[in-house]
Amino acid sequence: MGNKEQSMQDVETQRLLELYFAAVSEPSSRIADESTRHIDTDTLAAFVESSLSLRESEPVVAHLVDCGFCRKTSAELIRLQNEFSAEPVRDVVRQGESSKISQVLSSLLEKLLGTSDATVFAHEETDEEKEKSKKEDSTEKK
Amino acid sequence: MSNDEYFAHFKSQIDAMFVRCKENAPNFDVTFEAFASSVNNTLQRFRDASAEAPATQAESEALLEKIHADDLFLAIACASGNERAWWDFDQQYRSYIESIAKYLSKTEVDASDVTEIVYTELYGTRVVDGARVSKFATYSGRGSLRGWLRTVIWHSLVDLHRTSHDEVSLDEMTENIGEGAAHATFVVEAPGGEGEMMQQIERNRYRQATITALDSAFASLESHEKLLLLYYHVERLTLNEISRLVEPADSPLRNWFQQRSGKRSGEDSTRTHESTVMRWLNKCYAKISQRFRAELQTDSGLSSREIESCIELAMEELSETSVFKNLSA
Repeated sequence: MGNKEQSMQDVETQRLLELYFAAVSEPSSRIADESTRHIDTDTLAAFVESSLSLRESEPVVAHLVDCGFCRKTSAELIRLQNEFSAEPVRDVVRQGESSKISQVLSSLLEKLLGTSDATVFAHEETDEEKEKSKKEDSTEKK
Repeated sequence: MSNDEYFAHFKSQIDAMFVRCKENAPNFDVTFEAFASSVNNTLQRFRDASAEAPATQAESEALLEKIHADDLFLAIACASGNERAWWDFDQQYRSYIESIAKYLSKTEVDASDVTEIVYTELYGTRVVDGARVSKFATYSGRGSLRGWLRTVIWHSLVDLHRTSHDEVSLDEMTENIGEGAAHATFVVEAPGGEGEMMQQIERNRYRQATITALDSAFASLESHEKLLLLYYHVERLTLNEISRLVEPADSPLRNWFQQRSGKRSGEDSTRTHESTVMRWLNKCYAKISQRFRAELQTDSGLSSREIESCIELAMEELSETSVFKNLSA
């Protein structure tokens, strides 16, 4: 078969596939079916970053062919990865003030969980830090 | 080899990883036991990934080298509620999470909701056997923490969308080719007079043969070829996006395609260009075309002229809207 003829046949096949895919992917079911097992977050994220080995990827690829939900998710993640690939990693600013950290995180949890959760982090404080917090509290009261 | 023997083999490698992480983040209070337990779980999953061929020691060692150990260390510390770790995480990732949430959400409110949901899920509100279950506990370090967060955010957004919509159509969220394909048929119009009826019978025969041949041709491809076609034609990923997906030298998709074209795995470490992806697609088209025609010829017993009629008919009818009916409910 000549190159030109092959090329025409490729275009024809492409067109046929486009129409075939479009037709068979009409809304045919709802994704509310909880019984479907999907690829877990960790594996899907690693697949999109090409971090999985060949042997790990085989069942993932087979699943992505059959599961529209996971495939759609992976495609969106590929787009996201490209979109945010240039975003710089932020350096951690070390402030060396544990009480401030506790305050920030407690307010964060209070906002998220609707309760004051300062105790969640309080157990992490060393005796020295507790002493420091006490002193700060008494200074504030004065 | 027993599990204990298997894990014992990697102990020194895991130990070295732990020491490095501990040096980088001495305040996270992660114990060696917690770290080793997480890594061993990953090793176990890796070993069990394929029942046919258990992972070799060399493969497992390579896996350990690729683990994002510092990210894993941070995740383990956050899962256990270490405040210094949460502080570091918040400093490093909050703006990243917010940016992605804004990018994916339609409104500022949605973006803010998603960020809060993600933080809540990461911290964990569910308690099992007296212990809080943090989403961080599911991170293995196989990919980057950023990549994992992107996935968590996406799933949170889908969940948020689902709670506000009773039903989510496949148009909006997903498609299901496998299910639909198995039940696809052409529209069958009601015939008129006898001549028209004969013509209709012949057209119906062609229709059925075409569908069967298309199904069969697609099914004959290998999984990575099917996925490439689905990413390109259904999910509308661009050649550029696909080329970036397969850019890493050890990308499984890239290696499968290269193996088929005679190149050894990891041999070509140069960038995969869009033209390379197009070449892979063309190979898939050629395979489908060949299989499609062969199926019509041998299985359906059609002549070359009839095959061309089938293709013309498919082009003509598939171009119309809703030509496939009776898709799976």
